[in-house]
Amino acid sequence: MRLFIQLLITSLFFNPLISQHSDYIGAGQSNGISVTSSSQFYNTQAISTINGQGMDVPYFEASRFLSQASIGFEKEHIQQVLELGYEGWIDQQFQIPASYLTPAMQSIWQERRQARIDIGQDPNEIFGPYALDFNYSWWQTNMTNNDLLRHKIALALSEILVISMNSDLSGYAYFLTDYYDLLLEHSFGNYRDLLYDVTLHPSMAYYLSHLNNPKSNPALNQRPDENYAREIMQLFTIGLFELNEDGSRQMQDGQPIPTYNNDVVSSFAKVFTGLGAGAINSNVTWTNEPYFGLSIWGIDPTVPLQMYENHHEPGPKQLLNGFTVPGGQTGLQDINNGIDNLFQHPNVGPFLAYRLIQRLVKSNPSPAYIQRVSNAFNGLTGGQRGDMKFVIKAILLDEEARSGNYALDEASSRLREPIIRYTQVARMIPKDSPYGRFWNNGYDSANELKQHPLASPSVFNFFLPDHQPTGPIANEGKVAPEFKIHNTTTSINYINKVNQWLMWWVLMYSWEGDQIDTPIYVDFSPFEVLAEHPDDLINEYDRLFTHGQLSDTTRSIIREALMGLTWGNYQRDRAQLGLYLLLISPDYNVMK
Amino acid sequence: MKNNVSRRKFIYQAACAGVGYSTLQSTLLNLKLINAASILNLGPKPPDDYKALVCVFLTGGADSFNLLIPRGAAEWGEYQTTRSNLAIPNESILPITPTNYTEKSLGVHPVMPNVQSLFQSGELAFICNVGSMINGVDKSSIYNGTAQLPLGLFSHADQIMHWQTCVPHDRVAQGWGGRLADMFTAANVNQGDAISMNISLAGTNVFQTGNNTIEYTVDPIHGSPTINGYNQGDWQMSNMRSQAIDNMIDQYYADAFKKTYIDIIKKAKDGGEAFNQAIANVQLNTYFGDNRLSQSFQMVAKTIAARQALGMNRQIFFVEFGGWDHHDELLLNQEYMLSVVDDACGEFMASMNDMNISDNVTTFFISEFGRTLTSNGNGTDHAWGGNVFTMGGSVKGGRIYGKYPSLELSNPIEIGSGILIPSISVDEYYAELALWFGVAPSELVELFPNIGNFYNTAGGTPPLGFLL
Repeated sequence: MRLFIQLLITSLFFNPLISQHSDYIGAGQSNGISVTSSSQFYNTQAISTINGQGMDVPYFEASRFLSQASIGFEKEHIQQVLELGYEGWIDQQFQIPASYLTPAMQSIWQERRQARIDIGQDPNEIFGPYALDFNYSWWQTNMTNNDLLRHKIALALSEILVISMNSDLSGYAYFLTDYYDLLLEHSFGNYRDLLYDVTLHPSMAYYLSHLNNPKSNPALNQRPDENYAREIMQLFTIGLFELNEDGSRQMQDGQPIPTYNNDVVSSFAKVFTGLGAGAINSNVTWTNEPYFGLSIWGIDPTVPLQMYENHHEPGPKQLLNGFTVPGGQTGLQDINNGIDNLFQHPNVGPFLAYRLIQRLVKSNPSPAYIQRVSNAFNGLTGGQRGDMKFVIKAILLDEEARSGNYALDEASSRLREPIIRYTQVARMIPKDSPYGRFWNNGYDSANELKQHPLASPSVFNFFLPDHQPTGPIANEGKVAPEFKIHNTTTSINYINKVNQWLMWWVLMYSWEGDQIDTPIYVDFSPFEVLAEHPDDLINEYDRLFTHGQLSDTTRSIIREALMGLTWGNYQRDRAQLGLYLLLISPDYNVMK
Repeated sequence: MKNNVSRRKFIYQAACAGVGYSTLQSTLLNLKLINAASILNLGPKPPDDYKALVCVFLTGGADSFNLLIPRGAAEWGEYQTTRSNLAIPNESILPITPTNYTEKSLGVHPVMPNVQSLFQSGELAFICNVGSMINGVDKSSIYNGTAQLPLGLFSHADQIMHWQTCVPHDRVAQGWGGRLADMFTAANVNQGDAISMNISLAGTNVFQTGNNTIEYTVDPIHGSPTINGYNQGDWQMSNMRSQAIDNMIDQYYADAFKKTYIDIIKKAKDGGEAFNQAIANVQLNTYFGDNRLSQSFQMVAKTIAARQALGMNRQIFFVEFGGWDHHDELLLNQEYMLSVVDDACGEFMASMNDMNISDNVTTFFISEFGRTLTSNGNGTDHAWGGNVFTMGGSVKGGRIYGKYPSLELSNPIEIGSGILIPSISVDEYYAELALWFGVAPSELVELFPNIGNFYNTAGGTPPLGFLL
């Protein structure tokens, strides 16, 4: 029987372009055929064999892999993964040069200025480049790039090493794009280098206020700003409690052990004193030299901050694990010592592993999975301590990320971040964009879905790693960070965004009005041709958007709705409504 | 790292506590649902038996020693010496004259004339040097390491949590406003059940999350969104779409994530229709500004005006105004942000008075910690005790509760950089609000497990006495 079925499937379904056949066996048309299962992957029911899902497993797996390894992808990327294999694809991604945001932003800003000139206006009267130009460049890049993995890691890092345009940084596009580019640059580098460069980046220094942070002045009761000192420990490296390598807390007398006290915060605050502008920008006309105290208005964000020794706190500083920064060093030696002191702390591996796994794969990784990724961070699987390439491979190639068994397991769930729900459909779906401008304003996502890159409400990101929504998730002892921004307002706003993208066709739009042609419309034509048989259409959507995880229940709800569309251009209506329903379904929003 | 808990442990916890992961003692979680009505002091019902608590969270750690400021020559001098370049000039401080406190002359920040006048008219009160604590501690017990301190003292995330949970010795996902709503919902205090008793103008928050309570989030400006294209016209697309959405929402999902995803949508969809209907005809007579805080208060006012249509006798609101983490540019930022707070206070009280409901609505302001009295150059850092205020017709205003602390460095409650040990626990502040709302004294411990460390719940007097 199995042989027969496999032959049948081979003839009918070998080519992933399902639309090439005109009738469909299964999915309601399987009466009288009896089969055994061909796949254990998602669905052990025999129906998977005859409706074709059984044979699509490698395709589903590649699609699912990309949903973890990218912000969004196209069919050609699925083919790449199928050809290269997971590790091969990752290795290839490691070689692709980064597509940085700053050049994209510059060219968009230039176009925006030119458009004003073309209609006889003074281009200097446009405000910018500012956060809007960052948003444009982020979308432009992420709709056209091939360095998918790098951008996924950078987005994840931007939710750990947080700066936000919900600050005065909103007025300065270069501060936003250059910071994001720094994350891109180090996505496949070493976490230690990233920490150091982030510390000296004008955007972070502005956001966490160690820019122009002077040494103590006892006569005025002034002491160094503690903001960065505290958050680099709590949020970027070690967290509040001593951890085991598997991410669990070390306990002493039944209590977790704090990693630091306020004295350590004060000491690190002293380490991070004396940093000021590394270079001036063209706003500064009265001097050619940067100076301590110059604000972001006059700073060139592409140049790291420099040390102003006479504003740096002298003397020894007692840091973590018994280490003391010796007195008499240069300020940057102090900072290097401080960064090393944090980077070498055993917490960093499990701390970062947990957060990155949550961004890429699942909300509740097993301790063993965290440990395996910690090991990679610690250099036990090759490379130096902190080598992101080994960490990334450990996360994405782990059996807990890859094995189909985990895709069946409820504990593998993760609510897709709103921004990823958006980018995934935006990248995959064919688009009508005659000018190739993907200038999405981004503010509507930030306001309605409460998420957009570099638009977190605070340094604590859009959600914290241990958020537990009331109800079954908390009852099961699980965490689900993304549910922090899934509430009675955002959940409906999301449905209405899907309505805008698909039912109104407006996938994205800029704020340029009539000046520059930018709206991006969805092109449903490749899907309309499948719509005669709703199951063909639903299968294609499943392959591309839900990675073969569409449940029978949701499938039948969608099928029933599509069968009810019979008037006028019903093929187009079915293509629209089918994807609309899929994208609002729990099957799309909850990833495994 | 809280991720996995064994099945057995889960079952144990679920059985003894009705809720999963946490190490809370079961007394806190056992809400005595069967006999819930008996724990509330609801008393006989007047025609419009309504009470609302409005929690306003100034997120980031507001520097409240520049909000309530000493202005007598001696105490201002002390303040100025400690705060150096961050001191507000004496002559610009707006004076207040507490009826119960003369030890120090006090005033409010120059941009807060509404707060000043609400205080003077007896509708607003300050509570001094409040903070999150497990029990009373002093300097020596802190220095010698024997003091029991809140987890993650001085950390935003932890203090934000503790100010909402009142379980500072642990990290739990439920807040006291959520537990309060659990109690009242179990006692069927509200007739309406289309929307939660807890309404948030700021999304999901710990304060309003209970064991059985989830907040209902409304947008400060747009209210409650409804699904575009749902039941809009009798044509195939609309019908098929609406049916499919209903079918999707009505399914049972075994996967906890899928179930939670859909449950929120269901609450939103059902609640949105009821909420919009209820507030559709509400016309407020008073003015609200167009910033987010004023708009949030306006939406609270509209919801209160629609209380009968919504079938609500008890409501808890959550409003948030973030951005108080002034490590930098403190004076400049405070000047703007405190003026926003001040406007909103004036507008909301005017609206409540206009609706003749101000006796039934108590608004309380909180922030996760006070800030260091000393300067880090041009800002201040995370500290502990801070000043808070509360307003409403039932507030015994024009008074100062607690003792305005010495701002001199090295005073007995100062533990470095101008960090002050709180003199009053947040539990005492909140217990007073809970009693006013109708919780029996004996049940305060259900909301505030550490309350016994600060207040004798059987003593017959309120913890601080600021509510009628």
